[in-house]
Amino acid sequence: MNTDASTIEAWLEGRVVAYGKVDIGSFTPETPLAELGLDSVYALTLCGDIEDRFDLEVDPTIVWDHPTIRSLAHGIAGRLAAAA
Amino acid sequence: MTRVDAPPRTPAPPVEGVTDTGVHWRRGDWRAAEDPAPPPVAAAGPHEVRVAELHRRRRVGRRWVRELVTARLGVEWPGFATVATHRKPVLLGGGGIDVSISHGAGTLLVGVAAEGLVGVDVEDEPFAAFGRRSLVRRMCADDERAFAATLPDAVRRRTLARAWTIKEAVLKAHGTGLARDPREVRVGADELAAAEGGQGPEWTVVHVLGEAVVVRHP
Repeated sequence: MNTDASTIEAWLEGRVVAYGKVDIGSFTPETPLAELGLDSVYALTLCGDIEDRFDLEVDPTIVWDHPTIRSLAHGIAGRLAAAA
Repeated sequence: MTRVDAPPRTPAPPVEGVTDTGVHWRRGDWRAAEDPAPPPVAAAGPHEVRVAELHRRRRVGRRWVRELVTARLGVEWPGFATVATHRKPVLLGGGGIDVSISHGAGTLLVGVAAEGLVGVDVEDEPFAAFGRRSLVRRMCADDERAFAATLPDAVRRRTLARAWTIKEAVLKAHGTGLARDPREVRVGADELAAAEGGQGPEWTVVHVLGEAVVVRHP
């Protein structure tokens, strides 16, 4: 599986759209996740999805430390590299 | 260009109440609440519209807290303290008043109490998120998941939404939020079963008084 940050970023964009809070094309990777409706329910959902996709367990507070899609993608890529 | 006209809406006034342990709460549609700020201009893009909505929701929530504190607790308004993002709202001074604010897709819920810790949470229908296994796995203990698995789909989603509002309200009361694993906040089978037949938003008011955690769905 390709786990570079740009691939993860594209996957995260797809997840945010799938959660149904925003339309595709209405945000950028630098848009704050909070602005995209990523509340605690969806933060926890995203953690579960990250676990399923990358076999990587993360705490929902990761979205506090990485508050945009781009930042979060780099955070996940870094953790995957550290775990490899 | 994004259309920003609000859809036709019949404003319903918010409803208020007080729990048997003294939590004053208000619940209603924040989009229907009065707000002195002008709406986004018609040419605003999606970013501007989203930011304007977030700010409006925040203003309405804070105004409702202020109104409950002054009108129901009879306290001169102390003001909000500055806290970090994602932290529980805190009032200035040492008055011991605790407050909590939650919002669903359109429903806003606030709670205030003169003593103890308060946590509130609301989730709006149709509870679509609670049909996602990735969420259920991260929010529920094994026995909670086993119970939910026995339910028909629509009932299961409402039941899980209620379970979530309880867990989230407890975490918010203690001020931890998701820094604490919600699976550690256990919801009994009787509480889960009580969600069946419910209508409208699922919402919970939690009042922590010493060691006691009082859960109400007033």
